[in-house]
Amino acid sequence: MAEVMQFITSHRGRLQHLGLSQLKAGQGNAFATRLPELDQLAPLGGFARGAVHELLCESSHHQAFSVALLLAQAASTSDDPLSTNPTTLKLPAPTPNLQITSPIVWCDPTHQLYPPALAAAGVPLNRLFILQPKTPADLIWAIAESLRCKGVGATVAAVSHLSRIQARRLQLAAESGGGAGILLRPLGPASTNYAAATRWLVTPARGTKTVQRWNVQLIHGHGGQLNKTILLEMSRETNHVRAVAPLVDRSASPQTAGLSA
Amino acid sequence: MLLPHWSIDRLRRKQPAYRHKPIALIESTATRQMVIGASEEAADHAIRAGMTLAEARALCPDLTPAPYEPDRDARALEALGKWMMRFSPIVESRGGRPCHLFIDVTGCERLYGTLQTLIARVANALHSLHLTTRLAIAPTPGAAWAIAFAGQNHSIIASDQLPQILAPLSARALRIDEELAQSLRHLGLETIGQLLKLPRDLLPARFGPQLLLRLDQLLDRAPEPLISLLHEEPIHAGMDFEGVIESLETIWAVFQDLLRLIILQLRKRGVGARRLDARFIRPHAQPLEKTILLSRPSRDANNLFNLLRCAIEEVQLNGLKIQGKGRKKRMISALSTQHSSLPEFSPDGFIGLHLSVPLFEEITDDQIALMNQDHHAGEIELTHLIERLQVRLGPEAITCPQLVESYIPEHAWTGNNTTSESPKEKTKKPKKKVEEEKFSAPISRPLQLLPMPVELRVIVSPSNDCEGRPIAFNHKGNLHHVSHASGPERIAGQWWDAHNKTRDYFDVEDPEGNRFWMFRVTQTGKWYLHGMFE
Repeated sequence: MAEVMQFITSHRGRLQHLGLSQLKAGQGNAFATRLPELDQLAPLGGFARGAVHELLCESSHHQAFSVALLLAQAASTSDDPLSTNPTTLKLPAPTPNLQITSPIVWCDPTHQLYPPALAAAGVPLNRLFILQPKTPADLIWAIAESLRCKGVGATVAAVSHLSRIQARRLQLAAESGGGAGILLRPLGPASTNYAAATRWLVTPARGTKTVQRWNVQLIHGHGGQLNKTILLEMSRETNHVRAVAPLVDRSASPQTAGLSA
Repeated sequence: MLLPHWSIDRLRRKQPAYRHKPIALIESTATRQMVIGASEEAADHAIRAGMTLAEARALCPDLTPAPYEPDRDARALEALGKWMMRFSPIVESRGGRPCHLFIDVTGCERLYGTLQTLIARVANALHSLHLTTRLAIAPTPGAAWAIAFAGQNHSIIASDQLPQILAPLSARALRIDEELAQSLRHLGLETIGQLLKLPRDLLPARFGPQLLLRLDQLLDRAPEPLISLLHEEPIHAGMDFEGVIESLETIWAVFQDLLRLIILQLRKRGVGARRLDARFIRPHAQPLEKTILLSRPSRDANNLFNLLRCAIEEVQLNGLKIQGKGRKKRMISALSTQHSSLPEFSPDGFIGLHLSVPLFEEITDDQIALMNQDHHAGEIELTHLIERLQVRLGPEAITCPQLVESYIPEHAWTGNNTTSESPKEKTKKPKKKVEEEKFSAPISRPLQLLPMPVELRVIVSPSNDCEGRPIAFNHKGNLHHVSHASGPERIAGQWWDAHNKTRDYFDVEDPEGNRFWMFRVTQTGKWYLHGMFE
């Protein structure tokens, strides 16, 4: 048994490559956040393009806007660290200035998104489109249309309840469009239906005056490091984000630690 | 057909406030404002062309000055010419003052009975447009112009009477330069009759070729072909059914057929549609109309069809037409039950579908840069997406934000509508972008800002001047202890905008790690939650 596990872990990349149909060789089908700790949790060491990623929050009034922005920014940058060859994962040195090229569509039916904060985080506002659909049916339709569009880099939306068909439709739309879909959903019975490539649990963690922290955990994703938590830190003063692996959580889940070793 | 007051009539048609008031057309040359033309009311006050505005004001205190816009006049005249094509297929509209249109009515009188009825109809039509006109029908354009210029309205001249009638007219009626008319007057040659008596070969030697040409054109000795405005047939395609059509598949098939016809017409003219009007004709009800605006000219069948499909879906969602088959029906069934009680509800189906393209623009087959092909294709897809979203969600539902220089957080941005700006207009806006670069948003702003600040009950650290820091607060029924708060960031109101309250903003974290952005109004001491750092 241990040998099988050894084999699977050592050949993980190749096995996943065969399994995931959306990863075609020679095309930029994945993006990385340039935070190695976070990227390593994800399947294949990066986030798949043409797929839906869900960010789940425990409380209903909390939404993982910052993490969504981080992913959307990464998804809309044009140069793909994984584009050369998806099986060999060599991340280039992180560059401080990310050039956003393809637009971000943010569905904001409650009129709560604050664009100046996005501008401060480095999103050029002329590449940001805010949608304000009035009905839930229109919201789902608008997300699907935006995902299906090849020109859009990332589509961000807060959705609570999705039917099985709607969830599948969104994933299919993302596959045909090639952009990343980032859905913000509450953790609980409302979000039992999903067809996302990865699901992440984002919970706020204690920070300091100048640093805001979140715990980020992968809870669904074939080939990713499940149940391992990392800490995302954002500096209040510079908006710079970094990821660290907290020691406390690793000791708390010995099985996972054994697997990934 | 002579339009002596065209510029003023045009202004009055556009702005009813100008009607029945003395108006002077003003052109600014260097520092002087010269009167170019005056309305009849102004002319009664002895206001003439060539005065300065100050002089004219002295003569008539309630004179309304209006700008003189020859380009717009010419464009409007062309539009009028196109409108006049209902009387004859050949209409010439050329600039020149006074403005005039030539209409070739040769053979058209048969359609109207006599020339008298024709001229009466034209006069009626122009009167209903509130235009001052002088009409004349003559065998040559020159003669018609001369007679209309001489002030004989509604006159019809046969070719045998031509010399007698023209002889007493002023030489100015020959459409000659002001300079030439002056020199003729100096020589005592006042009328056309006098000119005609002069030997032919002397005229060009003394006055140049223009005079003889005009005289010949007047008397039909030299040809003067009219250069007609191009007749533009409206781009339209439609289909009427024998019975009521209900099935969505049929409607889509019909639309695909109609679009093919439309695109054929568009391609012939080398243009792309900017606006597409769809008419759904219903039995026993008003036809439904749906307009699709495009952000750039297009004649791509797939794109137009997708837009139409969105439009049809919206028609269904409005509950005015509720039917359909298969998946679509299931999608809309939830909504249709809500709307079925609408009084406007029409039973079902359409008896005719019509498409027309009232607005189109020239389209060039873009040469896509080879290197940037993917990017370019993405841009085109994006504009198509925005069009689709606008058709279904309404133009106000999709915005592209822009920073505004303001320290009041909620005023620091505006949502720019992305409605149909042509690419030309977009390039005109470099100014705003410069401002955007100059003014960058402060870093410590939350991603989530509540549209309206929510009042909070806050426990503050004791202090004697109401300047305490928050210790705990109650939000949505939960008590949040404050583990640390940074601030205050003081933002004073813009008193010139009647915003005279000063706010102290705090960046507050509770023990669980939730971050809130709250402020205290210093004047009232009340606390509000304004946003969340999430």
